[in-house]
Amino acid sequence: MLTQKNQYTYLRRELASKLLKLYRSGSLLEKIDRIPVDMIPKDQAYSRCCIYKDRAMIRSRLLSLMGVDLEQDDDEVSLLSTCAGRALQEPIAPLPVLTVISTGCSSCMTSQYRVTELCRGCLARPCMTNCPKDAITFVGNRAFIDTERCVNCGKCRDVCPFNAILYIPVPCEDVCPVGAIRKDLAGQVSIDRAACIDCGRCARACPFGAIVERSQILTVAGKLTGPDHVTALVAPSVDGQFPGTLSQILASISSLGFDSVIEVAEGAGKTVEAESKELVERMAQGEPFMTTSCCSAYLSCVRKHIPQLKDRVSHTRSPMSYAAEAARARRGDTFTVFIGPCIAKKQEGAADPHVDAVITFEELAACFLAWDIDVRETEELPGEPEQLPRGFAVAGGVARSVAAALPPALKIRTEQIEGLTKKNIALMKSWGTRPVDADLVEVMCCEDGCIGGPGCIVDARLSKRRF
Amino acid sequence: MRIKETDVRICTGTACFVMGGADLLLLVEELAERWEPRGITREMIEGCIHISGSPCIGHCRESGLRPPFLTIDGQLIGEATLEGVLAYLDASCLDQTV
Ligand code: FES
Repeated sequence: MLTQKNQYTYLRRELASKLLKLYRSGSLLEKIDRIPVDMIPKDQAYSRCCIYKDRAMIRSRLLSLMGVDLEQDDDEVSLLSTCAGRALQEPIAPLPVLTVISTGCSSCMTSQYRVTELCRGCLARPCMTNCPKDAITFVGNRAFIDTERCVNCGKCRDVCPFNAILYIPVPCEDVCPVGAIRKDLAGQVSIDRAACIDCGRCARACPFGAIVERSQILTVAGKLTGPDHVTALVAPSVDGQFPGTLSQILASISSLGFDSVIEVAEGAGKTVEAESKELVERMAQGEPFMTTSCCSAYLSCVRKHIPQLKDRVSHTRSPMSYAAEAARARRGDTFTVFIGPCIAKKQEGAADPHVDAVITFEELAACFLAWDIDVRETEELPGEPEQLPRGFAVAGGVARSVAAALPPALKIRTEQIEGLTKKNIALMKSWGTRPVDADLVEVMCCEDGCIGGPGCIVDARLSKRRF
Repeated sequence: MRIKETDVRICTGTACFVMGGADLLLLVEELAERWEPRGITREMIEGCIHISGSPCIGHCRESGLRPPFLTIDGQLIGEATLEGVLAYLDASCLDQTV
């Protein structure tokens, strides 16, 4: 996967904060049409074919930040100010979460291995000997891969002593674990909605930034500056995403104008309680194993791709769902905003009657920038932070919490799926006939767990230290 | 080997942190790893290279320069990367003649 330390990441964050800054200053409608031109001025070196295409891409990105479904609702003619006016007036339906900037797609064709001119046609020819499909022939003293036979195993590349064989990837397709990336004859990308589980990997893997998540920041900003009561539901993985302590981060969120800030870890407490009870019952009934249910991408994955595991998934609701319900119980008319590391939660949130909007940590950062909030300089909340199961944020944390909540005499075997990769999905499919040797399986779509989510700001290697 | 006393101030304002500054907080670890083959320990580094965080130093508001920012002995570096800072410290802090 593309490292998140890259120019596109910073561009995304900059654009989101520019949009919100304009909104806050009251000049959004007046100035938004200038952003593409200001960011890509006449004399600037361009990254695509010309400055006009670069500007068009900025326009599309801004539209996605306003929540527009680019494939359905962009007529390519409307001014950004017109679209912004519309978005401010009534919130846009948030599904589908991911949308494609079609002009941005560089039309990568198919991933393949290719022999480069570094091939010297050596005597040993290990590529030929080690190819399991007899796909390599020598033409004019140079290796040649028969694409009809090649199965992309990569053995030839691994054994070439001259590094003469290269893998040419299609990044979006390669990271999609469920085959939801479609390419038309020209190589143009589209997303197969029936297969997509909203994990968001493609949106972070495409080096052209051609797949984007639709944002609700404008709606949230509107609520924060308006008269309504607004509640923030903050995922535990927020710790370490900003400089300063957890208490300072929560205080900063509150100073954006949230009337109430609730840690989703409170909901996690309920999840642990219900899930451990459920596990005891299922074990008593002799069921083979149970998997966790807090990861929305995993739930979609079971629904769409691993039906054989349907009965193995816990019926317990996610921490977000419990926390949102509690927020509504406290105040029926509050507008709830889940703030987390996750793109798939945007889909779960859209289906949950108690969740009104979902934004990522990256989008939260844009709010801090627009509101001019320096987290590390913000005063901590009064009192000590409560003891809550915040370990949910890290791979292994859910299983640990559930195991710890079981009756002391009950010892269970746990298994962990860390990362919904093609390989792990195939493994889980096999559990339909050969159950895994465990009582509880924790499944997290992202490597490292939620702290490795696509909406995070900080590299998981760094944020891990907080847990 | 001698290490020149150096003062490194990393901006931990939100803008800098979000635009890549988070990585800079790995500086000590990375330095320790990088200089270990030369017989320099982490303690020696911490004794000579004084790394501190600072609230927003205001440069993120000026056009022309881009975050993240840090200063090394008072000299401002914009668009700082961990790799760039490591190379800079290599050249400025280590006595190359020894
Ligand atoms: S946040 Fe670093 S200069 Fe402002």
